[in-house]
Amino acid sequence: MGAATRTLPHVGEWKVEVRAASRDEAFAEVARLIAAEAGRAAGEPGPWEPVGLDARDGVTLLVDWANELIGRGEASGRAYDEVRALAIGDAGPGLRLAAEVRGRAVPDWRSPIKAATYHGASLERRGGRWRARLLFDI
Amino acid sequence: MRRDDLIAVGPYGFEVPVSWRADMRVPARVYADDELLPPMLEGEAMTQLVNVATLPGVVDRVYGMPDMHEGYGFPVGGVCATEPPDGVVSPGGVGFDINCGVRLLTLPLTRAELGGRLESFVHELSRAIPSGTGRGVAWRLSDDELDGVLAGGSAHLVRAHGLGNDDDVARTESLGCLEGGDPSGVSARARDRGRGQIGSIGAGNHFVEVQQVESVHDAAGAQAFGLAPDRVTVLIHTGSRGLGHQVCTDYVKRMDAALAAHGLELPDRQLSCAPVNSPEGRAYFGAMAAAANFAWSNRQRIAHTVRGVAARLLGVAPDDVRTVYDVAHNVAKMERHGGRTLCVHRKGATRALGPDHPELPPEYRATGQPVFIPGSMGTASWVLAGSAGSGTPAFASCCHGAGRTLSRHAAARQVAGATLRRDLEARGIVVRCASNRGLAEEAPFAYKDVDRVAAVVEGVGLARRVARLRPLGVVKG
Repeated sequence: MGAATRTLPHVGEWKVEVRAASRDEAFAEVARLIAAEAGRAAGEPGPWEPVGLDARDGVTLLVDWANELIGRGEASGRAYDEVRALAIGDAGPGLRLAAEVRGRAVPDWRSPIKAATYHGASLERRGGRWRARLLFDI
Repeated sequence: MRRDDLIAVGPYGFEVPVSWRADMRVPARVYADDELLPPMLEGEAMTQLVNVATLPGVVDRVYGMPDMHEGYGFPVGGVCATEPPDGVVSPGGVGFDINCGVRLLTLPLTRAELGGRLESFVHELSRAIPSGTGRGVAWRLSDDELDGVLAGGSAHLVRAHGLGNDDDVARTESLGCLEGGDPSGVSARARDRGRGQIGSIGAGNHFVEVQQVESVHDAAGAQAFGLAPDRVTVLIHTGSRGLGHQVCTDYVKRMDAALAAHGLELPDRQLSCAPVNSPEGRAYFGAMAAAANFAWSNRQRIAHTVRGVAARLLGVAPDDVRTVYDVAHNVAKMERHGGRTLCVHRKGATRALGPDHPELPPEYRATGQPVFIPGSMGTASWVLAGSAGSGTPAFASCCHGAGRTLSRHAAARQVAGATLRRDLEARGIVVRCASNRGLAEEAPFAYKDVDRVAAVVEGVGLARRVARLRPLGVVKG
């Protein structure tokens, strides 16, 4: 079963829930949904770009991952919807993420997403599947 | 939270006592009437305001404006002040769109004089003012130019680049420049996000709206502000774009990581904060001020574009397009209130100085600071004048809009963008918006009644109504 995304009620911002078979797939789905908001991509994908993040726990890593993609995408004008070699492992007292991402250029950047917040963010395994919740400021 | 949990304070005040939750340091007061209060009690808005009342160093009470609604960390429409040395500054109390705000311009034309040129005026504004980052970048700044903007704000744009006039600067909050703006505290990622965005409005609820003065409620105030009946105005609503978003992201993360070092425990991580005078607090203030200066420069550059379009299309001399005022509604500032120097956070709220305040330009000393409450694109906006003396209600603050009652997704489910576009145009409102969905998300029924919000503001004594503006055309991001 693939990843699934649904919007949760919030009067001002965009609260979203992702369900996936694995934690890695949940992170990849977050990348895809952020990219989808950017607008229509065009041309060939750019080169694979390395991403490395350290965080004290899984929720922090999830929010930092989302913010890395939001900022990287807007700065470069690319929608990073492809993720490979994603690995999340222990690093000292926290977690380390390593991945490669690539995206196509978005000539008319439309994303309303400003940032991902810690407010109400969660990442947990339930019934054999992973569930991630994020609130984006839009 | 239930209505019974609140103590009525006058006709429009409702207060959560400090005893309501053990970690509250001060009471939490909202301003509303019987219709505006119930939506505040739904969702998390009140809990978020109570959470703000737990911040270290918070003084007096925290306030929710009549447009308050659920946010993240702070509610939107929340105001609080903290006092150093224990008082903290919270990036979440400012928000990601640092110095999101509004600027009102007047044109030397009545609606009748604009006549059939309305549609072409709105259309040309939509062509000249980019909404995103990739289409028609207005100005891609060099590193030196960006440093000048971050340190000098809109005053720098006027004086170094000739993009405006001295009246623009005098009629901008803080003269368009927060002191201490530190370009070195703004990350390379933030600079890259914002470098090509000066002069653009962005997406979401940002807009440029052409309006006419529909009614005047305070003749002296309207005269001081240049708001004669039927006068055409332009309202610009945008902020610090990706640069400000990234500054907030960077410093929320940094402060979140330093909470334990400062011995801080918070009910919500998005309230992450640090003492104002700590290294993290000082660094945030420098970067936030730089982003605020970027936002004022953004609105200054857009005003310059409006002047260019008005000159080309309407034959209006640029200096005859006057700035009424430019005010921030997402910012933290050190201000004097009641003999104390406080760090005042306004998240979706504006400053509203009363008459005789020394920070006002001379022409507004008798009236008080112009305050703007934009409604939705299908209803109306209000111009008010600050009526509070320094230190009285809500640290001389006012609300920043009508306030949402319906989520963007719910609004888009209830009306098709194309239908809404036709409805607005049938009412004579010219709409330019690249996305029908984006239009639907900002449907008028998604917002509270702006007339009721303005009436409560006046009833509380935050500001008094001066003029009501009716939308003629809107360019949406």
